[in-house]
Amino acid sequence: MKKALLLSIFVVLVLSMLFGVAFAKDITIEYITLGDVQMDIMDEMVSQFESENPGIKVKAESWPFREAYTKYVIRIKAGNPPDCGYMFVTNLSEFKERGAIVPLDDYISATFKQDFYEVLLDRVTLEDGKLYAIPAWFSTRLFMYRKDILDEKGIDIPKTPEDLLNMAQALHDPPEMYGIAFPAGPPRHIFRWFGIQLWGRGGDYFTPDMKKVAFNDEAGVEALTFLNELKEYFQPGYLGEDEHEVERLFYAGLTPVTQLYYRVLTGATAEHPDWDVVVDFPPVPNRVTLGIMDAFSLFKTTPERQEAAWKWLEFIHRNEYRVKSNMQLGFNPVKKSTTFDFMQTDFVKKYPEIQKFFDATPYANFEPIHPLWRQIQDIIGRSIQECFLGDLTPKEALDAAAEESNKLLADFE
Amino acid sequence: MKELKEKLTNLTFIIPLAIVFLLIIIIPFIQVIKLSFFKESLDGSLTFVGLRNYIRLFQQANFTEILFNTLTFTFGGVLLKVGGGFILALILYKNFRFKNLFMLIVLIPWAIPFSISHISWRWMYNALYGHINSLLMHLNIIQVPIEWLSNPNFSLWGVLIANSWTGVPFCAFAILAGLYYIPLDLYEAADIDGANSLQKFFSITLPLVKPVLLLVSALAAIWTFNNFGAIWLMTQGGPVDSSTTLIVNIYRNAFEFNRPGYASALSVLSAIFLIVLTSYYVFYGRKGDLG
Repeated sequence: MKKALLLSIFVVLVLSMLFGVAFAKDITIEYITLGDVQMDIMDEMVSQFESENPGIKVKAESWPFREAYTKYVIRIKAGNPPDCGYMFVTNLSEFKERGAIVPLDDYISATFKQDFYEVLLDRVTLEDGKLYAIPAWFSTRLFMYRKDILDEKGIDIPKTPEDLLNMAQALHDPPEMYGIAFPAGPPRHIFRWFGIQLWGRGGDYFTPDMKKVAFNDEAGVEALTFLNELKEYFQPGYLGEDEHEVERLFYAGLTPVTQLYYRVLTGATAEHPDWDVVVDFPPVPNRVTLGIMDAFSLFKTTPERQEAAWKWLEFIHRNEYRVKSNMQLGFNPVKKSTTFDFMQTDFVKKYPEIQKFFDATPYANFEPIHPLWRQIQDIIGRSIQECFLGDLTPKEALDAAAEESNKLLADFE
Repeated sequence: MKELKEKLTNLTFIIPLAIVFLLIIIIPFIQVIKLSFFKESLDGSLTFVGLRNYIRLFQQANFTEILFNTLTFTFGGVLLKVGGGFILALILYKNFRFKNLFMLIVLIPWAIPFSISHISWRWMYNALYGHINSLLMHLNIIQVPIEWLSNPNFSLWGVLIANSWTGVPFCAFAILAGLYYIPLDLYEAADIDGANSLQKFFSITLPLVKPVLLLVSALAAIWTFNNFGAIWLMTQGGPVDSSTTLIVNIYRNAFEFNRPGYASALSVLSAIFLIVLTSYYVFYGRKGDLG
């Protein structure tokens, strides 16, 4: 009896030591996604990853897009960043300067790296030539037209800014139809719509050395003058509305055209099978599109944690998960192999116009990467609003914004 | 000796609160003042810049507009909340049928979660789908939708109306409590003297409820001044800067543009404004006006 008791105690001790060692080895990494992206398949991904990587646990959390920057900065300042996460490419150089993120060149394999589209890898390669993130999500913005409405009025798909203006004028019939819906509320959305007009006329937000802004040149003034004319056909309340509301208006059949990603095409066609939605490049002089890309980065923690977090980032890039999520979110694939798998799906056969969004990748212009971009974007947005309100002419608005932005840039230098 | 011991004992009771006060109020406040003289670089290092953040603040092109918005929002808020609350309190002071039900209805705006009520108001103001425009159009009062929150002349007042709607019940019930403290014999004596309702209101009700009114006004001013959520949920300070107040500007500079030094200078300025408001309350309190 006594022997049995001693034996039991011994077994319990040995087992607890063994498990103790096992538990001590466990690393729990914290992964941040934004806006609930992939949260629907997160449990599935986490359990598969944990079964393939014993000793690594994943704690996934989702932050709202709007709060992402603030939350990352607070966590970085507190010396307690997450292990890895989904972030805006525009924040990369700042986070690098803060010493918060690590270069991925030592982690990424050649095969994995080559699979990404080069134009996207360029975005996450910073001035020191190192890779500070891997592309996470990417979308191209094209114009989507309700061809059924245009046909009814005998209007062709616009190819020039004048065509677009004429189309908007011809179809503007409030409250049944608004010529074009525009998100002039948040500056981060104004820049996207103004950007297409600016780039499409050969302009840009910054000079090539990024020391000054350049959006108030001839191309910029022409772009804003055009939008200022087009505003007569915007929906009421456009100065307080964002892209989500523009999307809703398109779904509701209150506007014949929009400039968004392909989810709007698939969503609207699924909801209204009788609609004929046609996709085309923005009707501007140069062939351009807006590319919006976010990335996954690894935060500076300990070598073991970084290693574990990298394994997770590699894992979530598996095509089986990516294709599913891309379809759902309306994002373009960031890897060639994902595009290949994506193109085999019935989804693409059902919505062949999606192909145009993928083909637009080489024409993508992106949000500038500069630590002061958020402030400059805000200044531009406010000036454009002032122009729309009639307080300033397009030239005055852009000159005022340029002056304020250049002051900031000079101070930053 | 006994008195000293008593004093020391009493002091020990307030030490925990003093420590908490020091940790969560005094130290952060000193930190903010200190930070307002520094500029933070991208790598997180701080550089002393003297009064530059304060000078920048006054040089900011839209600073006067933001200051004006702050004053309009604060004092407009006091006017609507205390004025509305006073009218409601006077109604509730009377006895009438279904008074309890009416009191319950009055409480609803205060009971609804803050964000839900403000988002609902934003939808009501929506130029295309909003109930307000829909009602006005059905009544043939307007022919084309009014752009409420995207109109720079109305955006701040639009937020203020929504915010006051949620703040009126508190003021109403606080003033009602004050009204119940007025001895009824005063009204009976006035009746005997032949005073009419207006005379009773100006000679009895108003002077005796004044301390509560001042207290509620001071609180409403502080709460409205500090209100960030209402503006952020409804207009985010736009269009242009038409509904941006100091608090919204602090948030944008601190968290959106990552300029902690500049945001701290703005915070210090806001604190000065609030200290002036609080001093007014304390000053009148000492004079006995606040009861």
